[in-house]
Amino acid sequence: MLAISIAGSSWAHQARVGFKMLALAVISIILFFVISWVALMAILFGVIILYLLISREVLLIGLSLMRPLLWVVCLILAFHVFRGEFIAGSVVCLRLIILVSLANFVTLTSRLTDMIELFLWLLSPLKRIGIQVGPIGLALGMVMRFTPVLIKRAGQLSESWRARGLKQTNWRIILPLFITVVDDADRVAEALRARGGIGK
Amino acid sequence: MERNIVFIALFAGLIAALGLLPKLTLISGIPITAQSLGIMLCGTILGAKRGALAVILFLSLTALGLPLLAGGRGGLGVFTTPWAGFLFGFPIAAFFAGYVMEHTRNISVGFAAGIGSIVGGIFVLYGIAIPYYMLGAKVDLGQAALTMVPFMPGDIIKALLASLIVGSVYRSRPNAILSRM
Repeated sequence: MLAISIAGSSWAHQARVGFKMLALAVISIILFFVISWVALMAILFGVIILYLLISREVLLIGLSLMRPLLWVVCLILAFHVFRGEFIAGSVVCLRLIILVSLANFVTLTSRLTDMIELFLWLLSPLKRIGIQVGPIGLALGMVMRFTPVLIKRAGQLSESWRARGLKQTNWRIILPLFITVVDDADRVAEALRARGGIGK
Repeated sequence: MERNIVFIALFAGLIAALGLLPKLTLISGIPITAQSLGIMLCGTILGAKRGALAVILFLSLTALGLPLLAGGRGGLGVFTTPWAGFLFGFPIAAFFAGYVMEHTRNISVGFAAGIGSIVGGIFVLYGIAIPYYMLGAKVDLGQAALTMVPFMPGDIIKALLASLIVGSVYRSRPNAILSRM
């Protein structure tokens, strides 16, 4: 299914995912100690350069990902202005914008398969406490495989709902959706068992 | 073992599918999505542990870069906003919704699902999301509550729907209510 990341071969795409995640974590921690809005503005400028270093399109995609954040930022700023703390408010908002845009930068430039590989590697120490990583990988794969199927089925149910003259799709399609999924789950579990099951 | 894993995986997919259903707009003008209804249904149908795992699986794939959240959002960025308390609270909400189901076996499935959804999906979830928002956005309790309260009527409606849906699933597929197995 469609991931958020964008294909490319820029320096950011070629950097190792583990390195990017580590850098993101370190920068996020450092950001909490930066309390000057001038410094934060400079960092934000740096982030924009970071996007531009790949391409203008990536910057535009990055901006469109920030759109849902717009009213959140406005609201937070409004509360702070209301209390007469404009500077404190702008520091909070700038930090927020930087954090989200940096995190999006990592997502945009990392392939889903690399992210999953890193994720499973990070989980591998769980073996010590008796949790197997194999079934987790299988479950991740199943979600990726089934989600588009379920989305399509929800769409079909909405269509048949509308075909019966009822205008807006509402919660009533959720029950048939769940019933079909429960039936599918039993069949898939049976198929897995028939193929040797999931190793203990 | 197989059945548990398949149920967890498919329910994680269901949360994503519910997030893409058309939004319902309340009289107050606040749009509500069915995604948090998915969290309530996960907890109450699968039970505490499996419900929480299904939600964690859904959130993991979202963080790794799939646009599974309502409105097609996803990636690491959604976890760094002050609203992310809702996301981090989702698995805990599902856990408590399931916990209520597992410990109220003398009450009918539908009614228990309603109570579980209110406890997990409203009390526990807002209990996490409001302090998280206060810390992240540096606002006080009143301002945080003022931001969140408009969403509560929607969540109460969702808890009622969860009660109806789980009751109906139980009537047609009693074996599917893993929280009562």
